[in-house]
Amino acid sequence: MNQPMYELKNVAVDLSNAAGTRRILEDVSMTVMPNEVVGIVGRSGTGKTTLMRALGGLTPITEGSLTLQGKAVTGPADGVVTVFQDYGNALLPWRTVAKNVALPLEGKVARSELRDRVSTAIEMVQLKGRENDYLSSLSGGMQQRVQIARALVLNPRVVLMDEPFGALDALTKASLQDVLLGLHEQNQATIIFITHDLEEAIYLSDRTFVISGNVSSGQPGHLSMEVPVALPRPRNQLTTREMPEYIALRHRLAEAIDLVPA
Amino acid sequence: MSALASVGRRVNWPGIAVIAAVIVIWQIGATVGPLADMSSVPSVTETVKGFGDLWAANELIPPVLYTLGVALLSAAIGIVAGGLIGTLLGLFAPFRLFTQSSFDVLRTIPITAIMPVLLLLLGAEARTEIIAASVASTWPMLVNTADGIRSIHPRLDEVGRMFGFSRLKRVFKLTIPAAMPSLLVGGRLAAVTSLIAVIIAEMIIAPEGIGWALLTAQQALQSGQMWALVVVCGWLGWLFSLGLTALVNRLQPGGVK
Repeated sequence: MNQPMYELKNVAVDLSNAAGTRRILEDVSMTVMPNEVVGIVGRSGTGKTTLMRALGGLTPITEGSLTLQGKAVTGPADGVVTVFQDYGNALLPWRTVAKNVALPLEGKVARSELRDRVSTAIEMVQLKGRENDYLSSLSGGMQQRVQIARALVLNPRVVLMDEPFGALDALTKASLQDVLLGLHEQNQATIIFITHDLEEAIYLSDRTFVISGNVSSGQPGHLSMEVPVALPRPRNQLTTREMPEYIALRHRLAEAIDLVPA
Repeated sequence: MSALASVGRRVNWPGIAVIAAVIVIWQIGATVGPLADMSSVPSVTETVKGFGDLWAANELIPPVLYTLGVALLSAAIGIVAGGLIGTLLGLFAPFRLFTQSSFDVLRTIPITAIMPVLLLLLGAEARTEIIAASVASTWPMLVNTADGIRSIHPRLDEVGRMFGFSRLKRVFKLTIPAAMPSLLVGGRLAAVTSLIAVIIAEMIIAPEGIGWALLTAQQALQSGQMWALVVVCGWLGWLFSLGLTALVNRLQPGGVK
């Protein structure tokens, strides 16, 4: 039996600010297997980002247990990389594309290996030829690809994506979804992403969780539904989205997140 | 396009026309106009003559070099000190909590008000002048550095934590480069402040350099020489900012605005 990549048992997370301590997540349990693509879909204010930060070791959990390949997560772990939604804040504008991608490897590998891995990662996200450009000359979609390349250059075990395509237009989003699926086929990393776009969740994932709650009115976020997505791979923006199974899943998830008010 | 034409397009003709007009009006106003009887307002030709007199007596280049040297040294000290303290203020909330208000009070004291005190304490020496100008130029660097570091988005530090960088590595690889635009603004202000403080210090503290030359010309009622020195001070300031702009453009790579 394969060891799970992530195991969460009854996880709760409290966050404090000036106004006091507030419970953001409660009773979150899930298991993620290696090489799986897991989507977490939910509305704003359900604790999606907090869950992602807990998985990445950036926010400590308050209750329950959270393990990565059997080891408790106490901080950012090796081989776990987060791709943030706000690429503008997460990238280094004073560095070129290649130097941004090289950042996590600097001082860790030999110069020639660094060069090879950086150019492979840049090729994977289809930014060859833009290595020496600064970010300000790149579109939003390209900048997000730089962030993805910076994650891939580490050959990560896990890629966590916090609404990775949320800030992008629909066409760019569709093409980056396919870039991501292609990368997953080559890299065998476990991918967990959050989104408020339930079609994106279905299109990309093997399994989708619905996260519900309303943190600001005192209902902590919790996983309210788990949906296996048994759509065949490789997926296709047209044919996959026209399959009856896809449409049925979309219907189920839309009801689960109250897309259509009763 | 010929080289001459390209130079012709780069020259700012309207700007030059304004300067030429000012010179003409100055000359006319000071020779036949209402200011003709005031000995403290020399004509352009008298100013040029004062310039020539200073040059002939070798009283122009040495003071300029002296002032320039002291200003650059003081700016360097101020930039290093302000950069270090500003970095600590930006990075460490407890340090900020305990010292911020003291710094805020200290930096509002005009440096000119401290100069007589420094003169008494340390004597009429170049050292005193350097200390005064260094202190003056520390403040703009300190404030800009601290603000620059504090205004960096917290995401950047998280990126460093995610990659397992140590605190020190995060500061040098992420925080300081991200704050570089603010640091450069602070450095420019520090250098300009240093030049101003040095010229004043040469009048109040150490009898050397262009500030002292200006004061001497004024006390000797050599208005032509005095105005020539004012023009030289203007050039010095202009050269200073030109050099700093070039330096800033070199240090600040393409993508940063």
